[in-house]
Amino acid sequence: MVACHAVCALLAVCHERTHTPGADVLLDGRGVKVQGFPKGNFVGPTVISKVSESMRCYKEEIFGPALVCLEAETLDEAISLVNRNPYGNGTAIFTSSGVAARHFQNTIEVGQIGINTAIPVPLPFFSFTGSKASMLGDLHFYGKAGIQFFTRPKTITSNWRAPSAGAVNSKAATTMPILGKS
Amino acid sequence: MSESKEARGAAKSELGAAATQIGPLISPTAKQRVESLIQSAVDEGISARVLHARRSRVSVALACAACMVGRQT
Repeated sequence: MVACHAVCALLAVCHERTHTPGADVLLDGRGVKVQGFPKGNFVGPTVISKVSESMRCYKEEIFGPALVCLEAETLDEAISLVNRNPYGNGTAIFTSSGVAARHFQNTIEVGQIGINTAIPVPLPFFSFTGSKASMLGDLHFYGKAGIQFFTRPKTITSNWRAPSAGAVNSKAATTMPILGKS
Repeated sequence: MSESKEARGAAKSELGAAATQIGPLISPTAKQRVESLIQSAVDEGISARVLHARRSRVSVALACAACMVGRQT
């Protein structure tokens, strides 16, 4: 199963907004059968677009391989959207702009931030620093955060890979980053 | 929708195989919950479209046609 964070904010800054409200299930993973496991509890990859904040699939954590897509006109509108969400587990931005990345990491109210990486805290030596409704208790756990006594730490994982020749506009990688391989 | 179905063939029958693409959810209840949330997106999307169509003075017939195909043109 693909882990999906509560705040799975896809910062698709779209200039052309559709006039039609209502979600579209672009990829439906229901009913997937895996050979040899007829009774398995499988759900295939699912993509739901045009989701709004009032919808159940946005408000509740799906906990399955489903990507819920919302759209915003500007970066500030997208940041505001994420900050309105009661949860604060993880968030990510994909950009080649240092200005946008710095603005995002400073103003976003989420404790685990990925810049050009889909999984904000990819390695076990980071403490869990998810915030708001994604964390219960006073102090964070795993490692040093448990004894540092900060109440609102942010862990920022950024990936500024130098583009190879002709690859300035290469696609953003959304796979799990592996130490030493990326 | 078609890509998700194609994943059937790609999933290996041996757990832990390198080519495995889909892992199971923890229980039938967890699976039902995920599927119910996906269905809620479909249902809420359709009702939002009907409401929108009414507000924007689109004829009822056109609104229904939009729902039937699952997306508004």
